[in-house]
Amino acid sequence: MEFFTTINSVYVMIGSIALGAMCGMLGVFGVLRKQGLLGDALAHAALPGIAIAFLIMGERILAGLLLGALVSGLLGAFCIQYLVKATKIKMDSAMAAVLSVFFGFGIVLLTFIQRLPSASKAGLDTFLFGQAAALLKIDVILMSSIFLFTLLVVFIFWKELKMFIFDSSFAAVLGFRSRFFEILFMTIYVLAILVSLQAVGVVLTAAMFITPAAAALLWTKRLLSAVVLSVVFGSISSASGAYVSIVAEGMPTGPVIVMAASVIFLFSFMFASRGGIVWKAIERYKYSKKVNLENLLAKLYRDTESGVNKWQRSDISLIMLWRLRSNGYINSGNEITLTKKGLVSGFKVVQKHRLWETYLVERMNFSHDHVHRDAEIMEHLLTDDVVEKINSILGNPKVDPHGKSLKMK
Amino acid sequence: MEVMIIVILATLTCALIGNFLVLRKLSLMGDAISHAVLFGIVMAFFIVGTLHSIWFFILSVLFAVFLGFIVQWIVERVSISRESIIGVVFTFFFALGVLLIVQFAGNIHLDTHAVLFGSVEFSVFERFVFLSFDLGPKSMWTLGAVFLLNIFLIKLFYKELKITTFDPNFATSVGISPKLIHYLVMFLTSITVVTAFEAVGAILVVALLVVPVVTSYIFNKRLNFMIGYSLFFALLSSIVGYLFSVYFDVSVAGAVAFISGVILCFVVILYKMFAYEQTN
Repeated sequence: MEFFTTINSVYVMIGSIALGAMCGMLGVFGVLRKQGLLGDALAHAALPGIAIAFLIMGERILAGLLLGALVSGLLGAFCIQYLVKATKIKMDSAMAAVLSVFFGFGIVLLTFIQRLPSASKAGLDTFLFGQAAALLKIDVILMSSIFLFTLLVVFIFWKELKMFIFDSSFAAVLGFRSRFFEILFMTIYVLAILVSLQAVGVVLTAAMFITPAAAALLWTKRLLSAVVLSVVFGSISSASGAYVSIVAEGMPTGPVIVMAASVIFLFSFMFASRGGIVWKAIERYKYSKKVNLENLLAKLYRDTESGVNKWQRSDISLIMLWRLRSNGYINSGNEITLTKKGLVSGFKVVQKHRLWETYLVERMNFSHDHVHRDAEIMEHLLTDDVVEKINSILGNPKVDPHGKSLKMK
Repeated sequence: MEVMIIVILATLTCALIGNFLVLRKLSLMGDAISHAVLFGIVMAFFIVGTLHSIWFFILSVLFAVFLGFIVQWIVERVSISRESIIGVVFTFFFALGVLLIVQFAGNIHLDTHAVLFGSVEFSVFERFVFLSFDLGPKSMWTLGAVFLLNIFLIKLFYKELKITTFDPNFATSVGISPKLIHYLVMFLTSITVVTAFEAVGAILVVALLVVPVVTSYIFNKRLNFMIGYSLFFALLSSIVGYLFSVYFDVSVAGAVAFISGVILCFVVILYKMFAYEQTN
């Protein structure tokens, strides 16, 4: 593995994984609080702080810039909270307003800095688009310690955070210091954003917090498993982003990380155990197959009732013939006849239909000409247990409201 | 002077449609479209081959509308809140756009900085020439046209917009489709964002869609007053912001966004003082 030979690549890798894991962890809380884009807003809000810190120090000292970003990020968080609490402005508008105003102010300061003759503005731009490949040992140590700190906070206050997310009014009733947790939550959020700004930049920081978390929440509804899954997704996408940007010259890390996370999201969207669209489509297909088969069996049974018990092969489509035969519903031959099994299955569908019509008319006072469509749906859904129950409620009726038999021929 | 006219037109256009975005809790859609459209712009550039044709504009708008559809489509299929889905979708397309520029379009004049922060200062160099008469900057005409289109459509569907915004169930019961009106709003937003952001950049677009509107939303209860005041605040921030940027020689887009925030701040403070006196 030539890749790990340079010590710097190892730093970049460790830093990126710590970053992905941290954002993935915090992101779940953000997404569940419907504040997924909080990361986006606070990342933008940190910009003026960076610029002001630079103006004060006159040079690029990372710790100083990060302190500036921290202060202005927290100020942004405070403004969002205040706007929502003190006025009728909604959360999303407050986030959009703070994001754009702070960022606008940051741009004003940046253009101002660019005109300063003395200042070497080099390095401020990396905050806009991020540069994981330029991470140094000191950055990685900082990142990892912030990650461990947030991990510790989440671990200690797990129960409180859980309550805070899912039922803040219940938490308040229990005398829970929700203000304290609001501030705590915002602070660790902003800390994570600071780290992310360096690696993936202002614009794509949003994805670090949202995409792995959203993907994880497609798989599970349990908070703990969602957090673990999201951490895994975040780490995988960050690691692959870092790898590509080290191996392929000139590929920006941030966008590659986001692409990897998006692929994970897309995969989850299609295949997640809860609600993946592919499974839903398969279920729909299976159901429609079942409905078609049952409708055909019902028709064959009704034909039998009216005296027809032989059919030509050309009456039935090839695919349906095949399905009927493979289920053992018909005898093959030149002329088609129902087997005993086919007859019983057809009767069951018809019985469910007529029984449901009877039930609607007798017990729910529907008019007898208004029940067919409903029964058409229910004939595929009722189970044998329910049929038995309805039968006994209605006292084993012999005919349905249209005078058709409820007993098998 | 021409720069100022462009800024004013952009602010008015954005603030007008912004009212409906804020009321429908779609504020962050402007943010999403203005970023994600980077991908649309790159694709349109690959297809059309130039940044200065009407087809380029149409393709970008189509992509923005398509984006709204994707978000809606996903939102209807998962149990995750809309704004998180917006975040997933827009970062994906922005990242894809950046990667495409880095990989294939190193030599085209697509400056990601200009896309984000706008360069209204330079938009005046793009002239609209008709029969060899110089009729002013092109953005001025496109923005003007979009502004008129917005006014026209919003006036035409004012009642429908109002009802679907405040009471979608009632709207359905009187035969107005909230979904259709939703797409009308998304269409107007898309066309506004694409036009305005060409001239003033993504960040200013977000500021202009939201900030003057929420400023006005704080103390207004009636929709037509709210729209009126939002246009007033938009005008005020663009004029003061422009003068500010000229005086300090800084980014126009940034200055206008900043000033609109200062105005919001003032209004919040005044509102709190006034509300405090009222309760006593």
